[in-house]
Amino acid sequence: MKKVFIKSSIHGDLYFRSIYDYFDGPKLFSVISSRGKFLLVYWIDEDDDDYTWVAIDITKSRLLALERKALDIYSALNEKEDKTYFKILTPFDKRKPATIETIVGDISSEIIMPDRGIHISMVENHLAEVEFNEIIEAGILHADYSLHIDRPKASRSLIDFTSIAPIFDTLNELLNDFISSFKIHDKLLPVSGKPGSFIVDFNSSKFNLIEGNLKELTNRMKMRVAIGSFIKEKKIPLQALEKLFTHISNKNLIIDLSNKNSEDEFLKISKLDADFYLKEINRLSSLDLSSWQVPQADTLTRVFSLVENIWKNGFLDRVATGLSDRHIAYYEDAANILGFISDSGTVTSIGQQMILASDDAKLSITAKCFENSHCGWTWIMWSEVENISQVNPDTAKKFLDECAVTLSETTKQRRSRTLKTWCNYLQEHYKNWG
Amino acid sequence: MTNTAQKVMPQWPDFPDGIPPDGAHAPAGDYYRITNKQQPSAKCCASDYQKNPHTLDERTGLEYICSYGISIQNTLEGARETVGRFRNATRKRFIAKGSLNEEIGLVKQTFQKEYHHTLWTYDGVKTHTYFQFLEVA
Repeated sequence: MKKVFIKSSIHGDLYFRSIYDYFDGPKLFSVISSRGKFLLVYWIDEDDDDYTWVAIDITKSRLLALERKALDIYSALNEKEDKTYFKILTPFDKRKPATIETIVGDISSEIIMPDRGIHISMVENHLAEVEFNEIIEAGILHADYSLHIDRPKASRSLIDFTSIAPIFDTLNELLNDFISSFKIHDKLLPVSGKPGSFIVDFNSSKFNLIEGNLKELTNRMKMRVAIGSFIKEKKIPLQALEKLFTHISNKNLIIDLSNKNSEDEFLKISKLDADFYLKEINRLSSLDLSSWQVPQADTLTRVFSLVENIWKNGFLDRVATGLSDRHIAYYEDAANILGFISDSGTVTSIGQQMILASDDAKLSITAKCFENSHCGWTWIMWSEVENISQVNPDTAKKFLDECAVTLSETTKQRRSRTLKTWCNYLQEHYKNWG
Repeated sequence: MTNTAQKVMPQWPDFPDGIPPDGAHAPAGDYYRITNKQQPSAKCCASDYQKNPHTLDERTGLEYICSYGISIQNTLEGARETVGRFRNATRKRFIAKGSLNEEIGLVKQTFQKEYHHTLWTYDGVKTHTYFQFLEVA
């Protein structure tokens, strides 16, 4: 018979799968989530009221290695496959709910690890094959989140795809900009949709990292208090939020987003909310940079070569660049930031003009393109000057500290080097057309 | 009328049928218990059932049976390995040693580690008084 370890707000029901160690109860075991994912659960503490555990996502192959003792407990926990882990509190009093939170980092920085070389004591299976298959089959339709998109009752127009698709795109951007500072990414995976007032159920393993912040944001909006300092403090991605609010306002929508496991409706925005807050968000967003808007490619001549490569071949001949895939990606992003190539990778009209120009004109065009880019213009606004030639290149790091809040410290240091290099170089070639 | 002293038979608490299980026997010798306090207290030797009966809702089979008893080890090495296995959870704990006999209850080797035993104690037995501090875990 299936036994539930906890009902997790992140995973849904977690069912005991196999017990590996017993000491006054199971203290090391695997569970399977409602979506059919495996987790390894390890006891780390207890007091008079609760047990405390850590749990990690674990693939079946790694779990089998643990079970056949090819992997010790220390290694299983220390070399986890995901950057996150979960901390779980289970009250002795089972009438009280368990709590679970996602933590980004290594377990070894939270606890004293078990001794190396100790393997599991046993494998005592708790799930019959038929029960396991039932969970896997039901898991296909299990969703952790539900997004409800509606229009005010007075509105008669139907909700079409142009209303729905951008919300999904924007939520995806909101999440990934937010978690980029942890150097992790995630995807929103739709599970099912219901027509009418449109409902989309979806899954995301990392959305819980931003749930609490969105709930607090919704509470503040209900009270109509200022949200600017809260958004900046919690590093909620401003541009994605601006897109979401603008879309809701333009299309006269109401959205609510809920966690189906905890039944918590943590984000609710109507056109009235969006209209009330858009001005404040627009103002903040004009001084906000997302990760993809900041270049990380110091050598401008390589940017030019990459654009020329695409223009000559009709596609990017990657071998001819002489760069690694990682560096190609950096230079593609830089060419895109400057407007030389489109999002789909084709050369734009200004990109062609740059290629056909003399070497000196190339740099003048590039100086102007950098000024016109979101990054360049935000730097100008932040510096309170009129053009890129007046920006102090030495302020690059301070600028990113204040305007690119979702970037990690090491990324900011690297990218500020690129900005400083570009600014120093391009200022010599800047022509003021005004 | 005879005047012979009658030996009081020990009673089990209100355990379900089958607890202690077949094969459980009277202990005779040294066993080890990981305790919360240097001087073992009643809480240090409480079974999961005594801590909270609801805990048993999620247990079946041998785990259910053992939830009415407590985990002890029959070797010091076994106690130390248990500590090493759960270093963080046992970081503020102690290993206590007890010489157990038939007065306390019944014991049985349980689960796959040979040193792991479960002790089911008779009604009214103060289990913690049998154990003395041996070393810091």
